[in-house]
Parts: sequence; structure tokens; C-alpha cells
Amino acid sequence: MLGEFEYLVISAAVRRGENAYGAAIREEIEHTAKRSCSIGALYTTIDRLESKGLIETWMGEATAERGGRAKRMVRVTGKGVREATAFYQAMTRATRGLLWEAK
Amino acid sequence: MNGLVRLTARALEPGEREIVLGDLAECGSSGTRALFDVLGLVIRRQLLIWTTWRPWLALVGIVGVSGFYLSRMLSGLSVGIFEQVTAWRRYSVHYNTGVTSFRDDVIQLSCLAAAIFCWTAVNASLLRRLSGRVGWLTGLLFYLVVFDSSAAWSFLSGAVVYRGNPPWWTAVSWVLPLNPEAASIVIFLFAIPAVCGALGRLPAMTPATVLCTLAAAVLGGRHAHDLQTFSNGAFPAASWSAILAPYALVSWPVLTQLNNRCGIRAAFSEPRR
Repeated sequence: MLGEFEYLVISAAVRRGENAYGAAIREEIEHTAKRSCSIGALYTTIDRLESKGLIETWMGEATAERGGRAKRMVRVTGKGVREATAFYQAMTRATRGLLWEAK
Repeated sequence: MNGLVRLTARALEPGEREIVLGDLAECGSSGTRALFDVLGLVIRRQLLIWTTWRPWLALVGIVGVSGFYLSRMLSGLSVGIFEQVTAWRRYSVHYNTGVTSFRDDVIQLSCLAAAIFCWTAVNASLLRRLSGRVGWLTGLLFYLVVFDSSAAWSFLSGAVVYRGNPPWWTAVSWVLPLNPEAASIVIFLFAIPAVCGALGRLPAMTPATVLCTLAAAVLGGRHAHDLQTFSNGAFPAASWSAILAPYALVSWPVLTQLNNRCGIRAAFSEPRR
């Protein structure tokens, strides 16, 4: 089963679609999850997800705003979508009927 | 993006370095956050390398075992050379132990020096191949173990007492050779072959290493037996297996260079990225 951060990375990659790469995924996670996302955590997680066959990565084009440097593009595989779905359903089942109240 | 960030990013693989620096440029990230971002990734990458057996073999087999015995061999050679140099410089005579002839002493020291050169190069070459991007750490530890472990052993066993020097001097002397003889030996018999071996700038030294090891081991063993005879048994020689063991332990990396049918050479070559 996926870890929480792995789920966030896959979700961000799916949300970004064709434009999913390191900096964009990081921005997406920080914006939606309201948490900081270090580059170290992001890239080691991307490597792990790729080794599990949940995502595919390839080198994208270089752009001027990146100082002429290439991007590492990310695409979620079918297996990745199934794993993320399983994670979401498990979390939904686990929290169904619960009312969280901050004390 | 400042120079410190770029410098830290040099510890990453070239491809990943470009991607990460590009991400930081795109985000406009700079200063402390950018530095910690890159540093965090570097540390994670370095730690990840330690999840394989290769750096551990380098650490235990080369830094720990070979390094310790190489240190003792270097120490023995240093004492032999120091005796000859001092006797010649002060009294213009050869230092004669009486145990063996001066000619035999010189031959033994020369063989040992050649063997140390080969051992250092072969060990450094394998250390580099096994360590990959943590080579800076295992290399530094290898240097410190070779340079210090023999002296530390003598110090802890009470054979050597340090006194009279200020603490900073003692501290520096544990890191750098501070007299010309020691510096010459460290530079020519350790630093040069270590750097050249690690960078692959030396030709395959398998036959030379095997020959020098055999010569140094036989001459070292013969010297131990000559000393036993000379002292009428007051300094008994160890058994041949005990005499040969350190030579085997310091030269074991040469086995990984043998191109045999078991695929040993391939197993110890640098992994493809």
C-alpha cells in the first residue's frame, strides 16, 4: 500500500497531467496539502514510485526560465492509478463515520 | 541561486543536478532554503548508497582491514628508512642491524616499498569502484586509518607516549605528516599511488602486486627467523601462517582483478547507472 507522501505525489502528478514534473508537483503539493515539500523527499519518492512501476519519468525539454536546464517529466501508470485508488478507498473506509474535532 | 548551492549540487549525479538546479531556478528559490533543499537531497542520496553491500565492503574490507595492515607496513618501512637516513646523515655510515647484511636490509626495504606502492594503488582502485559517490568519505577514512591506526595502536598499547607538544600540534600531526621523511613516504608511497589508482591512471598492476607481495612476505618472514637465530631465541619468530596473514589481508583486493571464469572481476566493477 502507498504511503501518505507517495499518494500526494501521485495525486499531484495526475492533477498536473501532461505538465507534471518536479517543480510543478512540488508546487501542487505545497498548494493543495498546505505542507512544505523538500526536493530531497520529492525526488527520492519519485525514484521509489518509479522502481515500483507506479510512475514513469523521462527527461523533458529545457526552458529559459529554468536557465536552460531540462525537466524530469512524470506520468502515472495504470498500476499507479490503481494503487492510489486503493489508498483513497482504504482511507475513506477507515474514516467513515468519524468526526474529527481539534481539541 | 548562489555559488554554495551550485557547489553542494556537485555531489549529485550530473543529470539530477541539472534537474534540481532547474527546479530551483524556476521556483525562484535561493538562499538558505535552496541550500537546505539541495543538501537534503544530497544526504538522502548518500544514505541510499549505504543500503547496498558495496560501500560496506569498502569500509570494512579496505578501510578497516587493508588500511590497518597497510598502516603497519608503512610504519615498519618508515622505521627502517628512518634508521638508515639518520645513521647516514649523522655519522655517514650505514645502519647495520647485525641481524642481516646491509645489502639484505636494503633489498627488503625496497621490496616492501614497492609492495606498499602496489597495495595502495590496488586498494584505492577497488575502494573507488565499490564506493561510488561516497568515495570521498571512504577515501578520507582510508587515508586516516593508513596514516594513524599504527600510531594509535602504539599509543593505546602504551608503547608511545605523546608529551611536550601543544594540543593543536598533536591534533595536526594526526592528520598531516609533519616531518620531511614521513611526508616523503606518505606522498610517494601512499598519496600518489592512491590518487592514481583511484582515478584509474595506473596500468593493471596484478602481476606486479602478486610478485611484490610474495617477495615482501618471504623476505619479511626470513628476517623474523634471522632475528630469532641472532637473538638465540629471545625474539622468537611467529609461525609462517602468522607471518603471511598480514600480507594476505593487505593485498586481498588484487584477487578482484583476476579475470577468472567465476565473474569476480565483473562483480566488483563499478555498477552502471
